[in-house]
Amino acid sequence: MRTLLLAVFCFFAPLAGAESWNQLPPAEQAALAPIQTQWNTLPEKAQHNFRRLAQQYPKLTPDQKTRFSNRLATWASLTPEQRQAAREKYRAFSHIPKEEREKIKQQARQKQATRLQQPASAVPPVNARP
Amino acid sequence: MRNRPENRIDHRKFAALLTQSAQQLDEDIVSALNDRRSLALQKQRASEPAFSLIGIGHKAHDLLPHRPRQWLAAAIVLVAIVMGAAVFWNNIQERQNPDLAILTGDMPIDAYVDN
Repeated sequence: MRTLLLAVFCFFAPLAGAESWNQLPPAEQAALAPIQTQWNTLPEKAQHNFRRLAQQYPKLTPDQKTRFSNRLATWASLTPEQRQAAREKYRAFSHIPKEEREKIKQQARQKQATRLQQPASAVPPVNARP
Repeated sequence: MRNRPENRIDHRKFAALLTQSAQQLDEDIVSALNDRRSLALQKQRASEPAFSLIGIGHKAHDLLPHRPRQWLAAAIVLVAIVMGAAVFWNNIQERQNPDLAILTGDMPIDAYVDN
């Protein structure tokens, strides 16, 4: 009976309201470490989304894990509207023919490399609004 | 009225009488009756409904693999179907919520974010 109650609790726990950083399971804490300082300021819905992403983290390849950790803080710092716009862009991008996508990826990588070579003061932050 | 004892048919006696009468029949008649019986049975088989649960059971049994090679082929097909379904499901999920793809893909995140 106790096991059943625990199972029910574990099933419904993620559906409950916002959780503080300390309440997160260690595996999720490890995946979400780059946004630990922002965690308690994030809206409940965003926290839920990030937890879902963290649950996918163990399945990622080492390269994907590195990218995930590098980009997570930037992603969390965006406004919900900016994140939604990025999702729309991603969807539009995934409909482009593969060859064309590769060209765009190449250009984007070159652009990023150029940015990284510039001094930090000359680079506008990713979430800067016009 | 119907259930009066004198009106009841004793099935055992009736069967015995039929057996006795059948033994007294000429061989020609017995042969003709057998022919008619065979013909009637053939007609009955032909008029069996095409769709029946028993029929499905027989067909399912025919479709099931019987030899190890057939089992192996069936297993490969099944695994391919399951993997295809998994890929399809992943694609659907990715389209619905592409956050993970944005965060882990080989395209820099800046490309998706308006500056």
